[in-house]
Amino acid sequence: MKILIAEDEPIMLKTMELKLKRDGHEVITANNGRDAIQLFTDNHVDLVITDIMMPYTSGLEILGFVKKNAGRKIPVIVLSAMGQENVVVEAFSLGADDYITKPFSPNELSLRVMRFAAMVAA
Amino acid sequence: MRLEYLHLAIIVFSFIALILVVSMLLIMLRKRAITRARKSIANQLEPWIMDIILENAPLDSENFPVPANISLLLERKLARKVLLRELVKVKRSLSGVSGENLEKLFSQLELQEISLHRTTSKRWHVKSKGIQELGTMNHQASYERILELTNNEDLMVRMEAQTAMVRLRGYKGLEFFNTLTYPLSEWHQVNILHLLAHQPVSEQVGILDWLNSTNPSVVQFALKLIAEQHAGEFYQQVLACLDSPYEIVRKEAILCLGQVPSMTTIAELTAHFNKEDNKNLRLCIIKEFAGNGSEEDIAFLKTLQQVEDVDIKLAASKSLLQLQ
Repeated sequence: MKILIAEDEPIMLKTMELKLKRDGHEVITANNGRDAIQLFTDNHVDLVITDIMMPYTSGLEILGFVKKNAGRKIPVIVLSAMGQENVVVEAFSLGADDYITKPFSPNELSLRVMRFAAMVAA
Repeated sequence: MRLEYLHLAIIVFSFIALILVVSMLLIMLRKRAITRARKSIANQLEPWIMDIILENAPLDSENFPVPANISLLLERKLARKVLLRELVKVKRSLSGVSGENLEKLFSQLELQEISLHRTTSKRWHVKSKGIQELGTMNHQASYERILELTNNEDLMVRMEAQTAMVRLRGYKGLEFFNTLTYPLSEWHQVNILHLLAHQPVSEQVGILDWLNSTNPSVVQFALKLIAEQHAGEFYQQVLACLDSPYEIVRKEAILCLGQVPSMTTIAELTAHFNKEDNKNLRLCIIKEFAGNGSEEDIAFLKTLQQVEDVDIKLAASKSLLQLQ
């Protein structure tokens, strides 16, 4: 499965990238929303993981773009900080498929991605 | 003569301007060099931190092995500060074993020394940063030091220390209520409630002491906590708060009763309505009738529609509408 991760914190981005690569996924990364949209447009992505707070273009805007322009069902997992419950509600109203609240464990992310991988494969 | 003065003034002014420009340039260059050095250090540390997060680095007895190049790097004070900043930043996003590994590394390298030193700074923002680092990295050994700062004269330092206490020990961390002389702002009360949201309240956490605190904002917090967790077992104590001399406590008690209602709530509120002098609190009571009243209370609300005060009339009419 090809996964696009958008996250502005470098170590978190690389951690998620490494973890998901180890799980056997192909991963592309962006450290801001603008690049994430560009990468999404240029690649055939199966799953998007995006942080909500990001420079240039927010995670919600990425989510909106993916849901509007994908032309097929692409799951989006939203990463949010504690206390951003209202934003999570907004994300679901825009079509988010799942959310993970920071702080989270890389293993939790891995398991949630696995669930979507099974759905994509089916 | 005047021309000579003018020349002299031009020379002095030019000299001062030159010094200013050179100083600014030097400061900018220094800042740029520090930023570059920080970035370079962070890049060198990154793979090692990731190994620890992803549990690649096996524990050598109790400690994580530190590669020779990193060990050498960490001899520099700046490198230790960069590592501390990176660990704290990542720890905010990670939990589970990965988060615990970062905490272990923090203690192993004694980075708490930097944070503890920061807590002794005279500048509030440096002090707050040190407290925040210790709280985020779950450094239990610094508990006593943070406790000392919970009653600090600076509001920001105080709030940071109080938040760190709750992060470190949950309800037990609220022991600072026993010595707190400053008020807790409503905003900060909500913050603390948010941190405790997943921990059920019980008598053991000290709530009865807080309800009898001499600091009205502590009582207010306890009432908010009871309301949020719908802890009906404290109903009698909440009722007792209606007799508090403090307006904020009485108001919170009225709101709290609305969240932990019993069969007698409305009767108690009606009795209190007649004793209460404060108009805002009377309005609060009337609003509670809308949510918790019954047909039996319609007569009382109708009598309030006859009073002279327009606000009371309006509130009574609104509650009546909701009841009917």
